[in-house]
Amino acid sequence: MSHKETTEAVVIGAGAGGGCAAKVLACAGIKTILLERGEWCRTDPLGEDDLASQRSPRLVQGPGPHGARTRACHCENNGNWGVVSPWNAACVGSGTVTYGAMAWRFLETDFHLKSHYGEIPDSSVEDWPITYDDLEPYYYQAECEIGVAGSNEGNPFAAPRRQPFPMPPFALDPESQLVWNVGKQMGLHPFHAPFLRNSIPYNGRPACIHQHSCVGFQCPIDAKNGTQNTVIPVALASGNCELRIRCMVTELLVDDNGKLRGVKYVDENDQPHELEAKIVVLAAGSNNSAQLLMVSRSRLFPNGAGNNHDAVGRNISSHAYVDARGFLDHDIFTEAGPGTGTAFMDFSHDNPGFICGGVLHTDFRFVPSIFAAANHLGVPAWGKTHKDFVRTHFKRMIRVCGPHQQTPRWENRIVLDWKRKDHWGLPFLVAEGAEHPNDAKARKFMSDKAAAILKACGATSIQQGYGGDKPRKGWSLGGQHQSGACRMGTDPKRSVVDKWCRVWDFPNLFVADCGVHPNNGGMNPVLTGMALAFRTANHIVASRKEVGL
Amino acid sequence: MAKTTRRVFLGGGVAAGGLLSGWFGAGLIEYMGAAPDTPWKVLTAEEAAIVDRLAEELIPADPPSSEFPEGIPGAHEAKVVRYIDWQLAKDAPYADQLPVYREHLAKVAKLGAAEVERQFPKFFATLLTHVKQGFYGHPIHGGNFDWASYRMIGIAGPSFVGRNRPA
Repeated sequence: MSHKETTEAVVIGAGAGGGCAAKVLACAGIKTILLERGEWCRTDPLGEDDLASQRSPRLVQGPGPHGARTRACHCENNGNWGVVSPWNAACVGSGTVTYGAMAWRFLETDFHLKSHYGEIPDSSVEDWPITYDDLEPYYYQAECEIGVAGSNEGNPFAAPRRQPFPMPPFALDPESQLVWNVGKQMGLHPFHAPFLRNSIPYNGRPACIHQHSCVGFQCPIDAKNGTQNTVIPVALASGNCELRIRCMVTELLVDDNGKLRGVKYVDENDQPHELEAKIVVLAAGSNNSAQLLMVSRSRLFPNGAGNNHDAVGRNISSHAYVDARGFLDHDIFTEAGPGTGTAFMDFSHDNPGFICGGVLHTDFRFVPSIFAAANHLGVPAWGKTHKDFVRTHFKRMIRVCGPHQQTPRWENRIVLDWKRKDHWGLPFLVAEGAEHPNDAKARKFMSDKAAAILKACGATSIQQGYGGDKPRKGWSLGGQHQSGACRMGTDPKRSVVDKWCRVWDFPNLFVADCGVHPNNGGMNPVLTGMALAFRTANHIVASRKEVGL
Repeated sequence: MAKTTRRVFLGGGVAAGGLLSGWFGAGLIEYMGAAPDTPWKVLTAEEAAIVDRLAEELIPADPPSSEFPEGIPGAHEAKVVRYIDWQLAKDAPYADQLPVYREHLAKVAKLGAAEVERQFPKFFATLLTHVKQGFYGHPIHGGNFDWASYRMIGIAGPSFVGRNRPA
């Protein structure tokens, strides 16, 4: 028999969005329970282990999910139908514990793609129901409360800021300095990539010490800023937020009258609980938030909560990364990490022959195990020649890469596979769809630009990675940077949430993760997810009387 | 996962020693602990010898040179076979692949690496992936003994806090 209790607000998922939302609610005096399927991530087990890092989980996924119990879905890929791999960490702070922590604001154009580019056939490109200006104050709130270092100096493409960055940018390492200088000579506009890392002591924690292993790892001195070391501790300190770890939400409880009453979750001992709440904030990540909506079937919502128009789980996009790498005739590697420093937004929009594009930047350090496993053109995969190559070339590598903004399509979606169920009996998620033809052009274009920069840097043996010239089926849908599955819009039939990220038909159900993005930017989406979560939670507080809080 | 019974002290460890306190101290023993030789967990002596021989062919030792007066370890010296044995053990990450190893090792006992690649490409790809992980990955998992590959490349081993500050 399940145990019943009542609270004011429930936030599902202690990741980027959930952490921000819980903080705002709790600090406004709203009794909040924050449910997380993972646990606190400790430095000890993850440490420096490149075979268990979130970036290269060859043996285990260090920060979680650990094993079948916390695995959201099985991991396999069979072309058109690929079962979505979790990728995102499952722990308090989620991906913000181990991310590379790039802290982009989307560009103004990203908020009105349809107005900018016109109707794009075979796509679901739309304008957002909000503008960049609407979100700007919350970008700044996220930058201050989580902590961002950066500068837009030299970047004419950035959206305008009302306030300077809370922290100055990081100094460039030799690789980024070279790319900066060469890019400038080429007429491009290099600038400092913004980071959710401390360039100076900030918020009671120290400045970054430049570990070379940063992305994929938890920071050993806590100089990388996630929700686990910023807003979540603030929420807990308010006395109004209770964090429950190892608790997996399995259903949103919707009664026969279509009212959302609360959630059902399973604790670490597999005991079911019912938690009644006046407000539910869904922040399980794009795919899993959509999954929860879809599995929560009720009399008035037979296809899942908020899914009477089959819009839940659609319009998904993530990021296909493109790159070029090459080798200099001298070492350029430094132990001081994490690598990425110089970025360009010259190719983010208004490119010839296709819509959108993305940021290009120098890349995070490779660890030797990733470098050795990579396919290097013209180099045998094993034997003395390969070993010699690793020894002589590891420190000479130079790389420029970036994510291009995928064109959203109604047909690109996640669906439930009821034949296969996870530990809690939830159906597996399956990604379905294909890349828009536009995106194949964008990938090649960006990779060519990256290669041109490397060539001008004096690199040879340049190897481009962009996934081929043709549109790909089931490629890069809903993996890292997953977004779109709970789309924000103005039409209840073509979107899942309104401009306040409130699920249509439910006055008390909100989504606070990147699932609401109508398009995912040509850059890492996390700061936008955080800003939207702040905006949504502030709105909930401002309109609390309407939902009886 | 790796049980440490003896610490192998790493180059540079002394410098970091003063910093072993507080939040990082507890975990450090594990990172430093490439464990000593143990009997194989799941491979038979014959199977281990075959893996060891093939791994050494994939990543061979280098003879002494002016830059490396003692030579550079290959897969054998870096204990790659131990890495693979540990990962194939019961409840270890590659436990489900033990039958694959077992089946193929019996067939490749007398074959060189190139011939294994030709006759059993799928198994070879798995083996190569694991051998590279064992040689270039973190020593905590049994391979990359004494940070052999990191010393070859000329980069720091574990980036103890403070160790990798820019000069």
